[in-house]
Amino acid sequence: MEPSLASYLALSGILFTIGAVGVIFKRNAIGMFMCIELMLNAVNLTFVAFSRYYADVTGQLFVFMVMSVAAAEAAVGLGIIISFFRNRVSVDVDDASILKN
Amino acid sequence: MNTILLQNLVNPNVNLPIVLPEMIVALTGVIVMLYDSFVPRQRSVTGAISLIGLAISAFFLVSMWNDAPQTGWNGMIASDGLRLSFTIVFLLVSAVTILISSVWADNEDVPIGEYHALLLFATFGMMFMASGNDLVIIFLGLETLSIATYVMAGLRRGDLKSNESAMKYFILGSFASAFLLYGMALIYGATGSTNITEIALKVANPNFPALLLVGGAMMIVGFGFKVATVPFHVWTPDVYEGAPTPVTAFMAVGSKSAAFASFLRVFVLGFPLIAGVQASEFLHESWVTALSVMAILTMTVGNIAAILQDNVKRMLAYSSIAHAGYAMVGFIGAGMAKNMQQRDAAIAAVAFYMLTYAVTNLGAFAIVTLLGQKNDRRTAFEDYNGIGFRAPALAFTLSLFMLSLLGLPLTAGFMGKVMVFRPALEANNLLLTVMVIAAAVNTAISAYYYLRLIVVMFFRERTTDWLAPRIPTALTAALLITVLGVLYFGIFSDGVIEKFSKSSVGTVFKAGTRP
Amino acid sequence: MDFIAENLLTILILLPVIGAVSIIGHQMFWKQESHLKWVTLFWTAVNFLLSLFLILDKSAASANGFFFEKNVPWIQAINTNYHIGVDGLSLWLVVLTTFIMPIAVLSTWHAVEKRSNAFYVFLLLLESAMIGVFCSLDLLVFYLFFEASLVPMFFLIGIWGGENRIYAAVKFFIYTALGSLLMLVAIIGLYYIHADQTGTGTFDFVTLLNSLKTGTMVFSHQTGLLLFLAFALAFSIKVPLFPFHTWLPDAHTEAPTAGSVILAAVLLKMGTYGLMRFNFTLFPEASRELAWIFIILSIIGIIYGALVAMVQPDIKRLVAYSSVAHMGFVMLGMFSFTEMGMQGALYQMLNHGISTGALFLLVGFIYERRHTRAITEYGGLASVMPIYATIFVFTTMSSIGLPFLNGFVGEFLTMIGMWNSTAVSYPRLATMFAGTGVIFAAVYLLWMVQRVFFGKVTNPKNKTLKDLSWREIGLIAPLLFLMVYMGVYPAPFLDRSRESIVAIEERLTKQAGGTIEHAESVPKAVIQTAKPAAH
Repeated sequence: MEPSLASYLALSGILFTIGAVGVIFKRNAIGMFMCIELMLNAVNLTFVAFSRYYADVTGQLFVFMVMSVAAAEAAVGLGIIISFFRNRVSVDVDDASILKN
Repeated sequence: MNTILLQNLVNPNVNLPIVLPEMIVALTGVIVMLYDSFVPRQRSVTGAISLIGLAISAFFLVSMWNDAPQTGWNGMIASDGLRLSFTIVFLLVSAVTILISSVWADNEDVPIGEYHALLLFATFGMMFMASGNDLVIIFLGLETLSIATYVMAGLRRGDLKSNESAMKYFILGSFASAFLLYGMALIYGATGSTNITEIALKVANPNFPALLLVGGAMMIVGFGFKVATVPFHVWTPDVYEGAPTPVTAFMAVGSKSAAFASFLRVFVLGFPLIAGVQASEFLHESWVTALSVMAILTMTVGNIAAILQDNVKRMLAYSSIAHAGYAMVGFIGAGMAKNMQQRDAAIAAVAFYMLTYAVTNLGAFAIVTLLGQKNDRRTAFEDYNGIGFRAPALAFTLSLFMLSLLGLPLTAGFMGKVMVFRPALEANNLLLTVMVIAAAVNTAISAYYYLRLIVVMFFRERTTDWLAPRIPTALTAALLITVLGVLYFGIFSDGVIEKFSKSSVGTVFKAGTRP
Repeated sequence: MDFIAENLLTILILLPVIGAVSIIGHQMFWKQESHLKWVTLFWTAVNFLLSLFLILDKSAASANGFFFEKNVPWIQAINTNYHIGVDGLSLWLVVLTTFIMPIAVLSTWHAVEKRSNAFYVFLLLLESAMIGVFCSLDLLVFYLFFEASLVPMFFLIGIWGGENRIYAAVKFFIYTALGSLLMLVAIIGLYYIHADQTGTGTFDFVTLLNSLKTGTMVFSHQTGLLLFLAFALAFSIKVPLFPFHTWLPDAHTEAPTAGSVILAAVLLKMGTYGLMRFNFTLFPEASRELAWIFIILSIIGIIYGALVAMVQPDIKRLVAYSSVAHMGFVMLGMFSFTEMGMQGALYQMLNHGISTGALFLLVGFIYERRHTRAITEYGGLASVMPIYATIFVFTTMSSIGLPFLNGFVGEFLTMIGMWNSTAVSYPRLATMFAGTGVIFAAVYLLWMVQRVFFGKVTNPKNKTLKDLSWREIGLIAPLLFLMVYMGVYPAPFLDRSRESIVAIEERLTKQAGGTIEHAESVPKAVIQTAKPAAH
């Protein structure tokens, strides 16, 4: 039996939630970043599912955009994390605390 | 669906000139980047090229001002009042930021050419956020802006504060983007389209009404982060404090206005009230109520937190949160407008508000940059002790900006406030009236911390040595522009308001009338 | 000449601004700080002389009942106009402002040493804003001047004030700003109510008033009350009405002498002026309905101000509290809703400006000599400084309300007005309560005079004090002259304001739509609720 639209949506919802919860609870910048990637992929799944449901290519086009943007974001994000690591020798976000009053 | 697609492919409505201003900015960015890689460290040259590019872009934008509202790229780009008025604000913000950062580039070792290129790319992203009439374009514009600003926030590679600011901004920014995207995906699922005009038509009869609501909520979270509204504001103070001051100025004014532009387009134009249709009425009521509550919270929390700050940059960060709240008053007024004219006037009011906020806040940040010295070390309130009569011109100018942020008459801030309060009172709705009263009370509260800076500068005596800094030419130009802007928009705002209201948003969007 | 007559009010508003610019220019090119007081004196004196045209010009008023009216579009997008004009009510207040300014400048002759350039700039900007408040006939423009007057005063108190100046300046600013921002909301609200009912929104006072009079614009009962309260709060804080008065003693005490004089003479009048001009005419029903609250609060203010003044150890603070009491009389006269009471209130506004202004000047003189304001530091000054003592006692008499001096006329009229008032059910009891205030005023002022001037010189520092200089006598002399003149011959003042006051009274006692219904027919329920006032 072919999975229905609802099951795709449920899966993407679960993935998105796992990602969001991960971002909130993870203390490691790289881990947080990976959780964000997970959220983006949940979004992609939703788009593809609806794209197939409506037999409309817009959703798939959107996914391409999301993927390329995610790649750019990864490049920049890892660069930022590395430069933080160079100065701090840590990627733990709890160490990022000199700006708190 | 497929036949429509085929028709569009055969005979696409491209309307190339419509994106000319955007293209010029992007092209200038590429030229600056190339120039910098071959002839590095020519800060005045790259700065001048950027300013020229922005000026040409502004020229083409202004020449489009009197055109009737139009669309291009198969309806993905809209050129209407919202786009034109917001885009001119972005160009102004970008140009003034370049002028301000010349100071900071003078006494520090930062890759200025890259910085100028990034600033132009960020501006390009903002412009597409205002002109995008499709969720795809808005997403791409937002990401172009965000990625460029992540890098700009961390431009001082050796400075831990700057690193930290960039990392926080990056993680929370992309977190917010993920929410926004999920919202977009659900809206697409509910309506079968990513085009805002089509979404507005489909709202009356969505395929999955529940998804529409969830999608709308997710987008509120996403945009809420970008605009920095309570409860999604927590990143703002840290990021604003840590980033180099000119970048902070750019983020506080530019990114915020850009987020407002697409926020307005998606919600006010995309989710209108269609009378008598239950789904649309429910959606409309939900988002208006949610945003009203958020607006009240944003003003109050922003102002109260600002009172407690000891650092001027942090104070301005919280003040920018509060100002997002005031702008939302006009936003919600636009959402509740009784007819198309009122709605367009309200959108113009929000754009005008962002313009007044831009000139005021940029001016304030220009002086904070100058007085902050190398690596922004001198940004605490104590560092401003008693400088009032040591550098009277600077101090009185900063006081003018503070009074404008406070919203005192004869300054731009006052006209901005009057303009955004108007549409909200016009709606004649209890919640909105309460919101305006909350905004008025909050303005009085905000007097405390804006005046504090004046008090510190003029009423206290300085105990330590302090030499008035030399004001570089570029910064003088920036201050001149902002001071004239504050006074001009405060006293002779008539012409600008008329220009902003001239190009209506209405003809592109048919929906949005209330009974 | 024609040009001046045509644009007289605009010139009065702009001239001080030009003066301020000239000071900045002078400072930039000549760097002679000692010239600045002369420059400022010149501009304020010219402004005063020009303002005399307002009195002399007896030509007919415009169709709206205003003189020297000018109406120029300002921001058309929101239909706001630069609409200015004076009538009998505002005319005297404008003249009072321009009259008090040169005196304030003279009073600072030696007092302001540091940064005198900025001091005079703020003083001139303040004058411009104050004149603007009394002239504007567009609500947004009025609000603009109302707020704009805050900033120079804030700086005057904050930079040149006493020890506790920062607290006083910030308190002054935030108190007043809070009230006026709610007024702004009400002003924009009025704009939309007008837009809703007539098709065009307006901030224009005259247009709004005409729409209300002809009945093309009507409020629901509740809306009227809310709008009235929003306006009244802003003005009550400014007056200041008890319990919003707490900023006043601080501001008065900490402000430099010139600041206190202007604060007492002019800034407080903005509140009472605003109530009379806007609240009474725009919301007559709400004014009638809520009058009892204001009457009770004014009586409390009169008695409370007097009692607190009695125990003040600081002369300036004592005079500040006496202001609270005096302004209570003004409010009482206004809320009697009788012609006589309101005439008395207006007269009392001028009196208070002159007498209390003079008292602050006199306190300033002694402060310059001894740098203290504590009553206990003085004693027996009459033998050391006979001229000073004479003038001080004379001014005190005027402030108390001795017959044949100005204070008497004002207080007498307000009390008669209240006695005959129909605004509350026990006007006579209210008058009697207020009357005790007069007695209290005599007690605390005379007691202070006795402690400061009579007896033996106990403090050795006081033995060598110099009496008043010719400059000091010269600057207080016009005030003394007016005290006598206004006490003996009030007719010219009252004649000039009568028409405007009668118009306000008619507006208050007639229902909207033109049907005549005298104040005696105020609904019974209102009178019932007013009962607690009397007991």
